[in-house]
Amino acid sequence: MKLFTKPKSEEDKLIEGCIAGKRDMQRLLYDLYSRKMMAVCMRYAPTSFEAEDMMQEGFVKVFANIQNFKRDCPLEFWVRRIMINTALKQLRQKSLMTVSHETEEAGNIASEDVNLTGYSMDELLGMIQSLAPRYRMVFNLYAIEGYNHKEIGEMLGISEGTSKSQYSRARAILQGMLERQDKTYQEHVISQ
Amino acid sequence: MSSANNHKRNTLEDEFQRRLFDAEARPAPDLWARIDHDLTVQENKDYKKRVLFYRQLAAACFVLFALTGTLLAYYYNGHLNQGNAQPGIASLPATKPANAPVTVEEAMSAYAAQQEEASAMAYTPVEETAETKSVANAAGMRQGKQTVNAESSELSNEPQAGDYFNVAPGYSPYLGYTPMPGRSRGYVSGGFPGSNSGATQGNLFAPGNRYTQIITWESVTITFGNNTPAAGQPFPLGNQSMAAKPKSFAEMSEAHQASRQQTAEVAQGALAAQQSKSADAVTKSNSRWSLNLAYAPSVFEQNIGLPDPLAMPSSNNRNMLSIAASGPSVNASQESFQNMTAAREEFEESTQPAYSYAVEAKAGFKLKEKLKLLTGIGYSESRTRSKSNYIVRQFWVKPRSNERYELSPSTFFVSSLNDGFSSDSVSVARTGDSYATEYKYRHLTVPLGLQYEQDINKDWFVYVAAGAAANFLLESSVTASNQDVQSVSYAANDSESPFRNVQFSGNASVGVGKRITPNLTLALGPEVRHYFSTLVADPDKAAAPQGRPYAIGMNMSLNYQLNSSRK
Repeated sequence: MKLFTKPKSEEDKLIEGCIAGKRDMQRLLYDLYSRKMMAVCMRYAPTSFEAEDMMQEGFVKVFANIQNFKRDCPLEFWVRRIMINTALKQLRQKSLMTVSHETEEAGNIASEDVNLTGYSMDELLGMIQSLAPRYRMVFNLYAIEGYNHKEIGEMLGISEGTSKSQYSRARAILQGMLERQDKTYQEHVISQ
Repeated sequence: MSSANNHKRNTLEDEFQRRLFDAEARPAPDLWARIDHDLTVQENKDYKKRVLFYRQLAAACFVLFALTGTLLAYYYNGHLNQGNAQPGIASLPATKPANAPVTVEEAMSAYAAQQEEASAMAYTPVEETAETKSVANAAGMRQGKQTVNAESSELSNEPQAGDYFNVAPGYSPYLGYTPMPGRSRGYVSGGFPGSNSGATQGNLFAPGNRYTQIITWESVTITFGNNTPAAGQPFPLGNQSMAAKPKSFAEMSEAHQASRQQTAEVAQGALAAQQSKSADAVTKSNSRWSLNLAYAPSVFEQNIGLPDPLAMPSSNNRNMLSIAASGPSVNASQESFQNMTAAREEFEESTQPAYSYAVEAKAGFKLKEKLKLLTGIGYSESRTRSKSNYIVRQFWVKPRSNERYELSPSTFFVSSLNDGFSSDSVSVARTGDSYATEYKYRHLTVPLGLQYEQDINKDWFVYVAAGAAANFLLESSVTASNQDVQSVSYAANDSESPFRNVQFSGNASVGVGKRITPNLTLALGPEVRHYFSTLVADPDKAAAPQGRPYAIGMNMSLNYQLNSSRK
């Protein structure tokens, strides 16, 4: 009896090529995800140079460990997770995980109607990058990646409560930045 | 929203997630090249680990092989030297260890006693019955005219099917008992290994004679030899077959002893004659001269590094501790400096030995019984490989016009062989794709050495060899797989070549040898060759650190002993 096997998807072929160490397949995978992963790394790194270092190390890890990818989720998620772990490791190695004294003025009133449409991606990234490393990490993991505080606590080696308080602080700082940006924009419009 | 709930998801989080989760950013154009380089280095590390493993495996196999060979040779030699060994007699088939060993004499005595007992009870020749005839025919055996009654019930409790009796060393007849399943009979079979020639016919215990005794409850029929007359004809007189009269095992044993002695005497005579002939042959071929052809595949370590950027000469920042001579200015930017460091690390990590070999044709002169002087001519090709992502760009400035022009990019290795980069300015740049570089050195060699041989037995020997060689450089080349990178090749006596034209090396080898024929021997063993000086002619002027190269390989040689009688 002939058994019907599921035809291999393009992603499967790509993965198998990378497992075989084919450089053209590795390049293809890089081309496929490099832009998204660069944006991920830029959210975690304070500068674009450090983001590139993270991404370089992250992709080397991806190719070295791709045979361990169990294919129980899309490849992009797995690559993203490796990038995040690499970012955490690099920041930990550079001892940037300690909370520095925050000079930024926190926003007092939480606005319910936040609309970021008027902001460019560079502006938003700039705001996140200006956060202290641990605040930036917690904010990224919670607000953008969607992890809960318990998971974040486990990833960063802190308690759930600490994660919550640090996120609360990061959020307030970002709100303050947004408020100031809005104020400046309104003053600019009125003066014109 | 109160500050107490400031850690919960709200529109701010949703907005950030919507804008940034799937955001894209353009990475630096050379980022893939950096990843590619890292992957290359990682692959090289894995390759090196694998190579190391295989090297260790090969070494272990060789040691095991040599050890086993030596032990076997000793074992074989020991057996050959036993005084009572008889040529032409094969060893006995394996016996079951569970059964107590029984000598054939004991078995024969037991059977003789059994025969006597049977004779005492009744020894009456009976006519051949149809039943016994059919049984014998069914067993494929020949029948005698006379049969012997025997008590075979005892046999059923004795050995099992397929069992063999052990015998004393020196002669190896075999004797076995096989019951016929489901029947009250079986048969005992025996014989003497070897081929049955016509000359030995009539000799019951001559090698190759076989006998089979079919045992039934009623009668026993024994036949001997393979020259039994056709059915119905009487056996000729004088033929020691059981047809004339059944013989007891006791009688067989006596006859056997006599036959053994006779065979031993004949064999000893033949052996003595053979030894005498061999001695004559050896004496005839005992020339002092021999011819030797050797081939030694090896791994070669050129032992050249890349310069440390901190130790490189520079007009701006002269390092007084530099081992390299001071050269013209090296305008190394910060990036170039970093690239130099990276290229150096990369070179150390990615350099690996490639297939190298040496062949030699030598004449040997026996100085003493076991000591031989060997000299001749040879050729060696030594290679090393590396992968690189970096090139050296060198610039000249024209004195009057101050115009700057660039030389062909070269490998960092080649650039570092001379006196600290001879151009006006140098930079080390990263290439888009990694490229392979092969370093090759071809030498004409004139070896001179001594070899000492010690016999293990008449076929095997061990040897130890040591010597020195003069190596004349025929060609040296550094070839890059990237066409944009300049490859260099220096012929013998090339004035621009930084490499040494003549250098000396010492080599040592140890191993085992086998005599294929009295004149031809094959030897195999590991060999180490170490050069007494660096590859580069003037290491003090080279920016890169220079060490003495060496090669480790496996020496395989054929030696032909010339026959003096032919001269």
